[in-house]
Amino acid sequence: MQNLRHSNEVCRVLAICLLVVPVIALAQGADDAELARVKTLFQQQRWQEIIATARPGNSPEVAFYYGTAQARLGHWAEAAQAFNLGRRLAPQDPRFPVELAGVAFKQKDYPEAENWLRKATRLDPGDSYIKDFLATVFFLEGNVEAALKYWNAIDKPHINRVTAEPAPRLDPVLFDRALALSPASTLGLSDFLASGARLDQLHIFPASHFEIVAREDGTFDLVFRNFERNGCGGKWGCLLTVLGQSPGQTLNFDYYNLGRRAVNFSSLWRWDAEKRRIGASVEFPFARQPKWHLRTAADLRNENWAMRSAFSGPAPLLAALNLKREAGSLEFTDVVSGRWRWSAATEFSRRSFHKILPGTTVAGTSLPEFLIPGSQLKQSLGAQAALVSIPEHRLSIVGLGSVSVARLWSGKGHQFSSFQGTSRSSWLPQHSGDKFEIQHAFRAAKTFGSPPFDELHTLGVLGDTDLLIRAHIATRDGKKGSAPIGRNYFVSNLDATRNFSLLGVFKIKLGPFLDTGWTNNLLAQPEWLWDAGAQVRVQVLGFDLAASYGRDLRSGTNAFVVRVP
Amino acid sequence: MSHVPSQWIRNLSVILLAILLVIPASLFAQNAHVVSPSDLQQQAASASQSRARDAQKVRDFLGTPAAQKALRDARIDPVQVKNAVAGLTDAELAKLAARADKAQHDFAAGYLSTLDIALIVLGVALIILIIVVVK
Repeated sequence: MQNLRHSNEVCRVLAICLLVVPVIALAQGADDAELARVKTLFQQQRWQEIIATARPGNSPEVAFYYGTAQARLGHWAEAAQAFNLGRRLAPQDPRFPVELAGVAFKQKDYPEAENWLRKATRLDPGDSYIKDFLATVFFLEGNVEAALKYWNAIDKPHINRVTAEPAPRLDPVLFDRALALSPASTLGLSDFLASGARLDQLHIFPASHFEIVAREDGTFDLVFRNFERNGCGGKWGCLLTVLGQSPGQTLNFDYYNLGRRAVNFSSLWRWDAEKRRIGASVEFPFARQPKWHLRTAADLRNENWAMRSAFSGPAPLLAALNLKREAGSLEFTDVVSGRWRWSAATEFSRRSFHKILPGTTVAGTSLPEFLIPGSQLKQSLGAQAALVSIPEHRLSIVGLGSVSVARLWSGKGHQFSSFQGTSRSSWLPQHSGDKFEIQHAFRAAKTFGSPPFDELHTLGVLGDTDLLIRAHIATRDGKKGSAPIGRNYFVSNLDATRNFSLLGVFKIKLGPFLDTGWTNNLLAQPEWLWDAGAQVRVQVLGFDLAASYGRDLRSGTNAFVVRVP
Repeated sequence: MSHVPSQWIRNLSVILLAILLVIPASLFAQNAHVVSPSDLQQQAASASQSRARDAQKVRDFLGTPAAQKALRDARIDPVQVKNAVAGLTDAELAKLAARADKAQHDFAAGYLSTLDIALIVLGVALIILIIVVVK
């Protein structure tokens, strides 16, 4: 009985199979027939007939041809609809995001095309058409680095000519050596970046840039759009440079490209009675190699310090002194590539302290232990590297590290060493342009040994410090000493900016900031500093001005500062 | 003898069929992109030409006799201004080219006097120089 039942079940299954399989086969056959017909129509470019007869919901293949037919007739919405349908039917098929990118491209919606092509790249990373397409979209968006990254993967772009417009006044030998690229070859991203880095290092091409010019034959020209800084910068430019910082009782005089050899001279004179300063530097490419750069500088200071725990309100004088410091330095930089460089520096300095008011002991340390007069020789070694660079996302992180070792000749003799690290991140969230920008920098340092007072680090704004904590003003009544100062520090600056430009004449950058910092403060118990606020930076007629309003989130103190960055 | 051509045709047909089967459908589809590689090339070239056209328009405008006279009278070096055009961005060039185009058309149509055109030239020259100085 059991055998009989079993054989009955087998028969039933067989009967069902016999009935169903032909139906499936018939349907499959019908689909195949439709696809074959659509393909034939497609080859004959009979777009209207494809649209009239094909059913895109039947198979991804039909959806593809249907969508393409719609696109050929310029029916972009219908084409996109068909490709989206095909994408749902075959999510792993890269053709659909590619063609959706094509539809967006035809409508000049490059950001949308970029998004689809990124999806297609993930599905088919080796496809050369997708790479060429994506590179072209980046090129049209003005993202040259990303374009080169993708073009290089398919051995493009071939450069015919390399020109400079207008021709630079710089010695042609120097200019040629700065270019790590050659005509009639493929322009590599690394060569492009290296050339840019070497030219930047000369400091005479502040607004210049490379432009890739596409030709109709599929090749390219590379044009260096040259705006060269020569001499003082012309009558008006010179006047602006000299007087630009005069509200801060400072005059500057810079002279560029001396003798057409990229020899630059820069100087500063500050007559502020509380913090007098004279500085000058000369820099030039060493051995006529733009990748090697030598800078020598002299810096003389005469400053009155009044140490207080706050820049406003009741804050008793904790200590006071007059610092006289003279320093001379020599720095060599090697731009190894567009992604990293290293430098070595030697500084000889001499300091003396006068009118010392030791005051009260603060934070468990006494000020006099840092007042070490005498001469000092400091050796520094530093390196800078692009840690992260994702040009297609317009994100970059640059890291910088340096170590300094110094010895002082004074009494028993002192020595100290210091380690500093910096990371700078920049992200442009839009596909093109620089309307919005997010920047973050964090810096940290640790000092071992006995550094003199002038080697300590001040956290704040103004007072010659670049460790920005924008609600802590580092000067009070013109005297330095009202912001946290210490041997070790950590500083983080987060800025979000919206850039406005009025036909390029006015450049305004506006946005909020958040500053965080810590130092083993000499003036008070060490604590974390949290400042938030907004900053506006205005660049007009070559004059750069930053105004910030910050609030100390711990004490509630506000600070409004106008400064020259 | 009559078997030879038919054999040959049969072999050729088999080979062609094999090729058709071996070639993936996607390769056929490659040639059917909405945007062909030549479209990409053309679009890139067109974008580059557009900038060159705009730059030329601005230079031509600054090279007209009326503009040259206006620049000379204002003691502005025309060569410096023309060189500075290269330092402008695509967007800045497009705006200035449109402005120059309109001014030239209006001047030709008699809507603008020589003084008007001189003032426009000085405005354009000043904007170019300021843009480059700001950078």
